[in-house]
Amino acid sequence: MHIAEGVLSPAVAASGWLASAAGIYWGLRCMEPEAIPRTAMMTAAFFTASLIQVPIGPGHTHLVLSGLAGILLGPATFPSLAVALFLQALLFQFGGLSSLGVNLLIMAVPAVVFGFLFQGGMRRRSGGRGRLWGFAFMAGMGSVWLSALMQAGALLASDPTFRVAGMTLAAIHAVSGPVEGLITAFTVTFLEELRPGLAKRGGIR
Amino acid sequence: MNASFLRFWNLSYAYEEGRAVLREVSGRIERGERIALIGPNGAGKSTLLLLLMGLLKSPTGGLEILGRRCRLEQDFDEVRGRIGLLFQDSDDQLFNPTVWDEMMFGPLNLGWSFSRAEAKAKETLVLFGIENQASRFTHRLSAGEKRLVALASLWVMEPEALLLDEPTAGLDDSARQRVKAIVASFPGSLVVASHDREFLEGVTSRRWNLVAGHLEIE
Amino acid sequence: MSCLTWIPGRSWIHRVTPEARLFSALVLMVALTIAEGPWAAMGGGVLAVVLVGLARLPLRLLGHVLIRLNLVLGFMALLLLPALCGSSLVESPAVRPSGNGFSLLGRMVWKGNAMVMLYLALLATMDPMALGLAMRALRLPSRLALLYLLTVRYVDLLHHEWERIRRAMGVRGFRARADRRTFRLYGHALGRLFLRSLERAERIVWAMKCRGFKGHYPLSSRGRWTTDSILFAVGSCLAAVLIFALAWIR
Repeated sequence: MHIAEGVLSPAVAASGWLASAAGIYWGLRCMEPEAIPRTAMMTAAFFTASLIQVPIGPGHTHLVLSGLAGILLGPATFPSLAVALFLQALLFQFGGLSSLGVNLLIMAVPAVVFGFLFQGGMRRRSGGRGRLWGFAFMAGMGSVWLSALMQAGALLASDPTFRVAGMTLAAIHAVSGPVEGLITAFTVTFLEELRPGLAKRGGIR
Repeated sequence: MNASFLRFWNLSYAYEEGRAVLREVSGRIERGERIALIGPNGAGKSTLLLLLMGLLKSPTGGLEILGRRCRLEQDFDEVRGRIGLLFQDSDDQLFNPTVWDEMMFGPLNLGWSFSRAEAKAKETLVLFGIENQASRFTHRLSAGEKRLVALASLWVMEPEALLLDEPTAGLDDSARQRVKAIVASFPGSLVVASHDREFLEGVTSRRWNLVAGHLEIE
Repeated sequence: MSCLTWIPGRSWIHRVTPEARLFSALVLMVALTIAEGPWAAMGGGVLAVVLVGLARLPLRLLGHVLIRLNLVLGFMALLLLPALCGSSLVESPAVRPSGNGFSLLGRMVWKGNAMVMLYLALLATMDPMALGLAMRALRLPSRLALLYLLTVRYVDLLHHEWERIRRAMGVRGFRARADRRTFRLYGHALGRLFLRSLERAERIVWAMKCRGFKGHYPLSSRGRWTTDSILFAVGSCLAAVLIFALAWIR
């Protein structure tokens, strides 16, 4: 899901950085001082989770879990994923530093949007386990799909020549959407069973 | 009248509903008293220490530190710097990047001046024999070094009491002896939760027995 | 095993203070990202090679990293193939390609490699923890630096937790397949990981409160600026200006 170093045009990379700086600032402002250790532990957990390989069809995929991050962290997803992406770029050269701004927007914006949708859905009616599962699935799958679209958009904005490339990559990432949805749904129902309210209220904040 | 250093009564705690770890325990710690807190695994030793620091809140009973009733978070905020709690897992306690940051964290939070904190931190590092470790990153220390630094990070705040949760667990013999020597030289009140008989005999003089959620004071 | 690897060494770059290196990396990366044109890219590439030499990066490791990067870029190039061949597949009256595919490909490969070499030489040559302290010293938002530092501090512990959970699953005969059961077990395992990380966070907050924490994080040390590191930072700024100047040459 990461755009590599050097691919984006200067204008797109720079505006990505500016916009995500605003997102990071917003996320940091939303955090209580005591929430910083919590967010950091979740960041470490998401970083660990991103190293996990999950089989899918004949191959395998790395988990993104941005939907889950959005549900649990809310606006703090921006600084949290910024740290995780920075470490991935620095240690494994996944993605890159110049493209980090755009990569962060691609992942965090859908995550936060679907996190809010999830919490909205939980607030309206106290539905049963099925409703919880369903909304978590939608958040997990939806945020990955939206990310794939945004990635295609970023490539296209960089250079129209990337049209085929963007669409192909979006299609590839779309395949992992249902897997992300399933794992997000199972994780959320599990958490909600052991710590009621954690996911429903976005308990990390 | 001279009040006890710490007095608590009828404290209870349950992590899950209906399964109480502690049932209405009471006791008092006098100034300079050195208490061994013993009991089987899961008897609630750690829980009791957390209750005494106000980190967990008992639904029943109460707690008085230095003659002051502590109920709310603010009450505890004011006394916490005077009591040091050594956590069972040093990694929970060493959250700062370097050993030096670890030493400065407490004193600066207590509102000491930078130079006073600096002087005390240097003095404590020398006392613990770890002055050459100041710039090391805490997560790269050995288990023994971590325990020493954790203890030093409490010591530097000049506490009047120390609550130690399994201070020698997982340490090799030389690290254990160093911790023992340092704890033995601590002038204030002491509560040590441990399974290490020899260590307890060396540094404490009274025993509290936690059995099945009740505190038996010998 | 730690998942936070870095490249230790005794080169000249390793002796420059982390603050100066981070500052230089930021300045040069901005220049390299924004400056356009073949000459600027050329300048950036030369600079990156010089820095890699100064840092004495092990060539095997460098080769490994660059091969992986170029495989990714190669995949992108493959997707650009229709454009490169000028196929009518992508030609449409609505979207006219801005440049030709080859110049795009050239920029991608050249800038990508330069950028990765740049931060390998400047940032990967220090402990990730030292990098966090440098963020503090450079007055980056303190909460962000703290978030980074705590993450780096605890990531290995959580990784160990995950391996323990994984092993426990393996002992009970779990084999990862692409089926619903696998995903459910992964979900539960991840849930367990998140719960443990939250419990750990709770204990950390307790430990903070025990040492007088009342919502404000004190700063216990200040940045160190030696003559060498100031020279290095100034040199990087000049190099950045040079790259921008090169961008003006048409």
